Amino acid sequence: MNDELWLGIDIGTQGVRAAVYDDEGRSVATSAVERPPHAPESGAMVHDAEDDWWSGAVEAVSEVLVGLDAAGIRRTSIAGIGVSGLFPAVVLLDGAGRPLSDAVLYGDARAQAAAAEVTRRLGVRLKGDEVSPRLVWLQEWRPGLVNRARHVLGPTGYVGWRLTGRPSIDPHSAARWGGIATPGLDGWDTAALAAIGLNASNLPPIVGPTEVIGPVTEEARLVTGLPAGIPVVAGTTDSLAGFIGDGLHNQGDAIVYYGSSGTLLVCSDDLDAVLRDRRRFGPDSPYRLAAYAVNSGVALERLRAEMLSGVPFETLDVLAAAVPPGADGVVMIPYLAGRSQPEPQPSAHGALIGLQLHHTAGHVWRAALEAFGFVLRDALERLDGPLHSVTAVGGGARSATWRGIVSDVTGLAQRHARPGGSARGAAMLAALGVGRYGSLAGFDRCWFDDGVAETTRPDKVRRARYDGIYTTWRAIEAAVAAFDADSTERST
Amino acid sequence: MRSAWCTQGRRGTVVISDPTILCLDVGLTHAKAVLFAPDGRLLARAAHAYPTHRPAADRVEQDAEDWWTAIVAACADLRRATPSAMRAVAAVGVTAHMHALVSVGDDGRALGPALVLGDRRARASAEAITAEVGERALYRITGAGMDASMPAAKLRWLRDHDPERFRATRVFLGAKDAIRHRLTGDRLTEPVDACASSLYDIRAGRWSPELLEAVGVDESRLPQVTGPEAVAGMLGRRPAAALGLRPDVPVVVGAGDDVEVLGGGLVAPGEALEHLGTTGSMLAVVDAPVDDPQMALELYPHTLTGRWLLGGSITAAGAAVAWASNLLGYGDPGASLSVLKAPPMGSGAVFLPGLAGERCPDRLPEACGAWVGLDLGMTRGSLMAAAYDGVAMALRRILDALERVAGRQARVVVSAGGSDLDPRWLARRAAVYGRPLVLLECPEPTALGLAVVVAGGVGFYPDVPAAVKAMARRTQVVEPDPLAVESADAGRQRAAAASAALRPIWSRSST
Repeated sequence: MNDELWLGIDIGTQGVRAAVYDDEGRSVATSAVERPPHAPESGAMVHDAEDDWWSGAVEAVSEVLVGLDAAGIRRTSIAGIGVSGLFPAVVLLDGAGRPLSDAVLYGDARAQAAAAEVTRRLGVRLKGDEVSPRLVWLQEWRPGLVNRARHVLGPTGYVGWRLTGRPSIDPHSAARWGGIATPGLDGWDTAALAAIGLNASNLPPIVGPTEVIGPVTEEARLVTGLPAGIPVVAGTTDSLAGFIGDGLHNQGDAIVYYGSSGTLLVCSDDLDAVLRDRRRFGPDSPYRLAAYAVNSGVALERLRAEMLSGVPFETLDVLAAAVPPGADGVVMIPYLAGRSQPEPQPSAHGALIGLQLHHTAGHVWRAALEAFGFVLRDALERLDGPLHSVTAVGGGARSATWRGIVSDVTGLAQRHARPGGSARGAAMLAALGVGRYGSLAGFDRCWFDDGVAETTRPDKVRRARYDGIYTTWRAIEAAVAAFDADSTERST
Repeated sequence: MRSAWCTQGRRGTVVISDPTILCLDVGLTHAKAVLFAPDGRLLARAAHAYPTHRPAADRVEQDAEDWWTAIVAACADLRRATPSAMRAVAAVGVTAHMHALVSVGDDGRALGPALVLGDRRARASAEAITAEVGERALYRITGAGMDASMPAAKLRWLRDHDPERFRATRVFLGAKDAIRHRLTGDRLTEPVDACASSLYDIRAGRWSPELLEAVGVDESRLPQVTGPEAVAGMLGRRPAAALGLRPDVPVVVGAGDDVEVLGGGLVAPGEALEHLGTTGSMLAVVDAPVDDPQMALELYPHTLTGRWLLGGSITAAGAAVAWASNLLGYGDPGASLSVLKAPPMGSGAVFLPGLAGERCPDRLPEACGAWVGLDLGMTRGSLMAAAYDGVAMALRRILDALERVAGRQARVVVSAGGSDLDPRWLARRAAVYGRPLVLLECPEPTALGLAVVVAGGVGFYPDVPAAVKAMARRTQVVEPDPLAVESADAGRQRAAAASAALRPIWSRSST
């Protein structure tokens, strides 16, 4: 057995995870620190690159290193470092490397007008969370600011830069920067950038996920405790790292993400092929966003805090478990921040229907959990191919009630993955980059054992009940959509 | 106005100085005893709660004995508080919640529990009666649609499911008439409670042969219908002793609790009355019986002969506000009122308060409540404000329907008061109604309305209209804020659109 170790660092929306794996994929040390996003004004969703991204990484890495020390493992056993991060997100740095702005995250709602402008000028279809509108918005806020910046980086690239002194961006993140990368993802489209008033000189090089960007510098060693010289690879987005780290490498492998937003991500390409050829990256590749329920990072949290008196999630979960399928007629339409699938419908709103005097928080929460399932079912009906596997990830996936509802509504069996898949995926990219493995297929399945908690299967009886309930839900969804569309028309 | 009152007792003339009127008002949760001076001043009041039983999901029952116990206790309180005023009681009246069915036996006591408003066991009977008599014919005869709450449906249910009780009943009475029967032994009623039974032909002014046939009951087992101000009888010795009153005091027939409109001074068309409690209603006086083509508004004889009351109600008014307040985590009922300091919302969340079905202006018993237009900007406060607005807007929709069918505008809305006297809630309702809200001097408008009938009936005044004029006094007028009216209008349009959008889905079953 080789005594090489692999360190993965994942910069997430709510915090940073670090994990060290041995050659059989066993986690030797892990840590997780909290760094939630901030809302300095209404609609804002930001991090501080230094205090959240870097400081979080330093704290998490220090903890795992202490863990190694305690187990009598030499820090120099770490043979490679990979980074993964939330996306799309961006921070501007000055010549001294200090942030010139907040790090603006995907859920920030302030750049809608800028997004419309980018769409017009570049002719690209945006989802609304890309980086190019952020840059246009920052430029409007402080003219010349973006072009004056020394570096423009996402979280993966920023942490990589702090570790090695070399800026970079991975192709998957670059593909989601909003129409400013070249089609081959080998550089930046200077004409497109000029059209929106930006220059390309401060944008980072696009580096393949397994390519080494450089060694850990002495400066980084002093701050983190990592031995200098360890190779750092470019890494990738947290979502893609999650697919990699949870063993989902083939077309048809799907992730259902149970968070404050609910998403269905379906792997649409063979990941080994994608890692070898960056041209295969795109907004819908190597995985597609097939469903987006409860459109935002905060919608379910909003429901809990505002409508349900702030009752804790765990309590709501227990209450919902006691309510039968169909929530006794309570129906939730979850589009609190508009709708993006299958077609963008910004006029869409949320609704809570079917209320009676004996209904309580448990009924409302059950309806919210079921709504997530119904949106998924709707998306599944429109998929053009069967799913190979389904893995439930995210904080909300800890709820057996919620997983059970989703399995019963959709008929899918779901593997439940423990948290930390992204950090594992980042570590795997480092192992690939250093040459220890030749492909994802080369990793033993034991790498993914730690990650699986259990499998939730649909119950036949409940599944049959949900068929009828789903039909009712669709009818209510249509009625509410008609009201929302009319409503918008009347107010414009 | 006399300060000495002469009355004929069994043993000759009795003279009472500073006479008072005792009103017994038995609501759905409390029995009240209220003492009035003949000029309408409220002298004293006492209330005692009594229980409601729900032995099954669709059954809501009360024990007539509990009504009596509560009345006795309330009167005892009054005796302690104002002994001289109780001794000076010169006339008594009774009012109570309507649509209850009491089976009274030969001994004058109730046989089994009273089936009260909210009891829904007679759903199938209501449907059967509607099928047999015809929906439109039913509406024309009785002034309302038939549903499970109506004594007519409950009677038929008794006939079919409790034949023993059905056979043993000497007379079927409503709540107030069952209580008054205990006071005097009379078997009478008046047009308002008769109408509320849905067995009465309101235009012909008699029990309806078609309805009696549909429920299988003979007129001999129903009370005789007379005027509300008629003297039903004299207070018997035993009940007088129980209540601490002198015997031989005249007891007036009274009226069902819609008599509140008299307490509000509503005698002529051009005004509406708002009743806002657990349920909510809007009532207006009309000169002639009118038909609502949608059959959603209800027609009642007014306590004043020759006039009629047109009204509509929502089943969950205060109940909807309380439900929302509870879900949203406002600990005490008053705390949620603070959300009303912001103006009405023209945009944002809309709340439809049909948590116990919709009755008016759309008959949709399967309807439910809803919040629509939810977005990330929603807050506890905005959701609660939407609930208040939703209830006010539902009442405004009834008011609009009343004006349409009556063919006459209501210049003002008289508020029957209660806990909804908070100035913020009053101002909001005035804005949503789009016209002034008039407040009453008396905090017990139902009891006062009854006192008016009693005063007119026993001769304190030449007639009931004169009694209304003297006794029913109004105080403050809450004028609507024009800006608030404007944003409320926008909100009302959204609410109407939401209601229309959801209408088709209520009849679907979700399981």
